[in-house]
Amino acid sequence: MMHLRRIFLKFYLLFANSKVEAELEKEIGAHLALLEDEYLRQGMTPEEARRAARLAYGGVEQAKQLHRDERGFQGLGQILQDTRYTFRQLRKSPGFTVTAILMLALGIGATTAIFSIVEGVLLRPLPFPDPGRLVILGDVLEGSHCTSCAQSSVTPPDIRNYMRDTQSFSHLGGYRGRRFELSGTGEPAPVNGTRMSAEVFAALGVPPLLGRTFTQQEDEEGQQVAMLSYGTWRNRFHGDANVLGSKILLYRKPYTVIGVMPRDFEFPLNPGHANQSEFWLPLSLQPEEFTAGSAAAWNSRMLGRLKPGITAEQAQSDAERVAQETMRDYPAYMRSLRIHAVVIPLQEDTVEQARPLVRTLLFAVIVVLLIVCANLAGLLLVRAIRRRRELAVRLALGARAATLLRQAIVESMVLSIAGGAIGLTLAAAALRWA
Amino acid sequence: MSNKDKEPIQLLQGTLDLIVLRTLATMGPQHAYQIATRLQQVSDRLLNLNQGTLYPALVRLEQYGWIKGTWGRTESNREAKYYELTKAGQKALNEETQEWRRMSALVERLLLEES
Repeated sequence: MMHLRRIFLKFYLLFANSKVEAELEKEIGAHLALLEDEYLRQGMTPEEARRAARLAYGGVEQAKQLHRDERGFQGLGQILQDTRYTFRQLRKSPGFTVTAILMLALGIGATTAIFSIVEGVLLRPLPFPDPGRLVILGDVLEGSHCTSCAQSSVTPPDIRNYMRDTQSFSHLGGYRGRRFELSGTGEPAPVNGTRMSAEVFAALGVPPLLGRTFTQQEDEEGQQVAMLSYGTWRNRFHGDANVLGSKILLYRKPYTVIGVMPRDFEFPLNPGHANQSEFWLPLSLQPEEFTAGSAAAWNSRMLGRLKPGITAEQAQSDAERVAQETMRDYPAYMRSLRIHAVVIPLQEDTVEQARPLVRTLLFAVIVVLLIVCANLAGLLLVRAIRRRRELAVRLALGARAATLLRQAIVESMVLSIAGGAIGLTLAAAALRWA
Repeated sequence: MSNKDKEPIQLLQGTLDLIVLRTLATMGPQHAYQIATRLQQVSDRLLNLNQGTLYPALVRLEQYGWIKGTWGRTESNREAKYYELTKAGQKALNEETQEWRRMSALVERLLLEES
């Protein structure tokens, strides 16, 4: 316990240095005066007495230094002193200081901002329970050269067939994003919504914040029910808990609100946060969607959760079997099309869209950071060369090489920390603004 | 041999703390000069001690909370900082004394065996 108290004091006294130093001066003065008194009493002349007192006391400066070493963490004290010295030096050359700090701030800020995005997109796990089991099931069209086919997609008949005939998924459903005109809550507004199978909610495994999600039965019966996103509930319905059971109009058709999803629920996942879905409706495929035109439109996607113990490859060959059957049933005008089923992890699918862009950005920014470092090194070098004479003088006056090195390090640290702090602030601002 | 006896001895590491504590315990509150004088009297001038070297021990003991310094006036009406043993200091003194006794007894026993 005593030692804790002492450690605390040793830190504290670094900052209360001048007061302690004054008191020590006073105490030593008193001590010397008392010694002198004693020698005077013994019959010495004042001069002799003063000299004798000094001798008996020993070196005053040495005693002070011993006292300092004992009372505070001198290593730290030195660093504080070096820091003060550095600030003086930097104030003397504001041009250099501002350039160095700004350069660092921009480099670090840009890198941090980009890395935050990379972290968000590439490294953070998906916001669903056990995300490793979530997969996207879709078709690849043989011989197609469409560039938008980076994401595998399915047709309405595919959704029906895959859902009915595959065995590898504990839940599997289709979904399709669409813009709607929302009315019944103030001004009509165009909003993004998603039609999706009730099974998709089951696969994602995120329980609603309020109410319930719709069931597969409601989906197949074509019930007009809707789930709201948290943001929509807050912004368009003022977070009203009585929203459940109320009606909203989508293209003038009434839908009953039956639930609200939690704040961080987002589906489909759009890295970059644009076009978030504001509500979800049952997919409820209409008869006309199975007929010519729509039947050959690969405009929907499918999400599934793998059954325990089933790998994505096994699921893919299972789905491939269904795809072959689907092709056998193709009407005449689609006979020339050949499809293959592919199953890829949702994580990969989500990241895939953003990966090339993000990677390029990250690479560019790292190059920028390297350039910044090289520039800064150059600046510091020039500064060091200019200060060679000063350093020589200080060495000649007895400064130790270690001391000069420590000061150089402290100077770099001060610059880096200042640059880093400003850089992080810039990055935070950039991310908020983006 | 007798000449060697008169040569000043160096203090063992850590013994200065014990000596200062003990001095304050027997003599009551003292300022640094009094402590130094007392040390020289007791040691019969055998201790080679610059009076300034007391200061690190004093600040150390004060930081441990074993002694407490307050400014006061001497008989000759000079200002001086008087150090006083605290309760914790008394306890520490007892412990350190025990420690020292055990240590010196051990060394003594070893030396006896050697001869």
